[in-house]
Amino acid sequence: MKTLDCFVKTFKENLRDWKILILAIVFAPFFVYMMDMYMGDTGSTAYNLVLINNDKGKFSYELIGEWEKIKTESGKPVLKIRTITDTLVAKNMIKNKEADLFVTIPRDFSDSFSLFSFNRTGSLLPLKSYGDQTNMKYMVAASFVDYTTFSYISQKTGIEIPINIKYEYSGRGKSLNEFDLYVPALMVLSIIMMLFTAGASIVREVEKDTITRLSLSKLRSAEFMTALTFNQIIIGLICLFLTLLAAFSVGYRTSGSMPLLFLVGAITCFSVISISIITSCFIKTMFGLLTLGCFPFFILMFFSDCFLPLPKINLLRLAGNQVYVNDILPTATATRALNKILNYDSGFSDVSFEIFWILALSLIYFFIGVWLFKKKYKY
Amino acid sequence: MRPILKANSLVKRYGDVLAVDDISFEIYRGEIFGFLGPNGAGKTTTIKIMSGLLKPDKGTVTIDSRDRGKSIGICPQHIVIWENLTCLEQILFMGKMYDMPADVVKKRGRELLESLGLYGIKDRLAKKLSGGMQRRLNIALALIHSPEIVFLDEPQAGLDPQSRVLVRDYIRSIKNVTTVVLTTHDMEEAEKLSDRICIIDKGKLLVTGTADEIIRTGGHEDLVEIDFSGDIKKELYQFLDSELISGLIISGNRISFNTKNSQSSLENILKVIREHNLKVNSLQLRKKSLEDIFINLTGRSIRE
Repeated sequence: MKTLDCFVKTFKENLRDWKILILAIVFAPFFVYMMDMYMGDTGSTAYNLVLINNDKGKFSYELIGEWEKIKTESGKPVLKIRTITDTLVAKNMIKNKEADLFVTIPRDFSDSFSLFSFNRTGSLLPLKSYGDQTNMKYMVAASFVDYTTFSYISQKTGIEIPINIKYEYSGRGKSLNEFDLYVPALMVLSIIMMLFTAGASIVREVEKDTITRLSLSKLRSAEFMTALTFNQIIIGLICLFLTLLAAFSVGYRTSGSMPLLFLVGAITCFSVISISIITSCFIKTMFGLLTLGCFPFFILMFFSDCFLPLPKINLLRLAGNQVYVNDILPTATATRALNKILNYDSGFSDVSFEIFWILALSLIYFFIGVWLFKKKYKY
Repeated sequence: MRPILKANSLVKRYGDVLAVDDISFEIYRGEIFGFLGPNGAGKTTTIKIMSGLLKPDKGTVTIDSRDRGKSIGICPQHIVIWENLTCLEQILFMGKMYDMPADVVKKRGRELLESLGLYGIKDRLAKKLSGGMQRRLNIALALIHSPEIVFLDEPQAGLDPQSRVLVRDYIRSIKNVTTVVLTTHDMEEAEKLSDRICIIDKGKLLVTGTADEIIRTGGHEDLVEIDFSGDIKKELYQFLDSELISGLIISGNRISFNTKNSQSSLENILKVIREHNLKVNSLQLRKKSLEDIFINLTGRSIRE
């Protein structure tokens, strides 16, 4: 009963102290719109190709036309081609990430193509491709250009390429663009924001010393923490729902299981709240929360595969499942689980290990948090 | 009388600072116990130890109580309220945290808010209350569960005269059901309210007793205070060396001293004043107050 009363009290306080709540709720949906703005109006990924065509013959123009024909499912061109004349300018564009791929078509490309195609003499002059290896879009753009070029040459020359690669897209039967892959990360980001709202609920009590009143009463630490956790889970699920709604509003679609999504979301909220409880035991003021609290926030954000793909370092194998070092952050596992659910339509059995792992970690962190809290604020 | 609280040889250190230095005392059931001391004397630390919020390095505190969990109420010096809850919400919430049944807590909450002049604003958020109202709410929160002993740490600080009277009367009204431990810097208030007083300084207990008993420890002396219009002349020094007086304090153009024989002392000093044509602005002869004893015991130096 005390847990329920404490829950109601904390809920009212959260609603009335709306600034942090609003920050937490709108942060991830805001990111969704920002990501959408940068990744195209429909969320489809386009690759910038800068081209120097030194050839005057028809084949180079035909080839460029083939590249331009590559379209996404929504009919948008995959390659945005810009033709220029200066190599230095093109290389600078690659350096500045204004272009993902720089292709040079040699001067006598069409002549060599004619000779080879009709007389089978000589060899085709090579196309030159240039790009930044650290730019993931370079490899993708190059693979689109390579594949289309080989197909064109094969069709024109009648030469059968000994092996043909058939591209199939994983997941829900259509290609995933970069925005799609960011959606699970944005969902997790919305939950990571709970670090601040959950932290505020504790730190507010410490800063105002009302924690002393509570510790003198018959309310136990575990009851207080349970009330706080349920409270924050509700806020977390609202954040998750609004983030999903924002993603839907910019064209994202999924046929993944919604109950499963919210189950993983709720458990992830629990884990973030548990981490927040631990953090709050070392912070005494709201100012401290909004400054020092950023440290665990950024750790969770950057080491959870939310935005930066990290190399995988094996930690252990558990029941046939590989656990990586950054999986000690429950949000890393959550990102993977939500990606499976949202983008690959995975069911409960596919993510059962992730659910178990997040839950186990959450419980460990929760008990550490309660223990630290008791040690610090209870006599 | 049966003690409700026994403090036995309490010691508490913060690093090199000895905050509480071997303090022992008893507080009796149903009394108002004034706990006096200058800033940094160790009052708050001692209260924290007594209320169980702080562990002493040495010593024990024994509370004779039916229900240890409900026996203590604390009203800290600073205002400890939930700013985003209304007066009534937080009173009811705190009552429930002490396992009070809903109907009992409602009745008790209403009584408390009425007694402390807060019932009319019961639905106002605490952050929108004036400083005085917040202080009264602070007191109400300490008492909602009808504790057997309540620690009121400067409960009247920052209150206007009307609120002071209200709070003073309320404290008096609860003393038969709740033992009150009161800390204050207001000696007059302490004298008026407290059944017994203890004075501590630098972590040490200096004196315990009723206000009268403590005043008597200063001896049966009167206090003379004289304000001169000019500087105090050296001619006075001969008189000031007199055996009739003690506890001489010279501060600017003002002197004060204790005297056992006020009549002779005054005759002598008036004679000196007349002989040397000194100008006196005011002359006061009065009985020693608790504040005088407090200053005698703890000194005049300003504490950090």
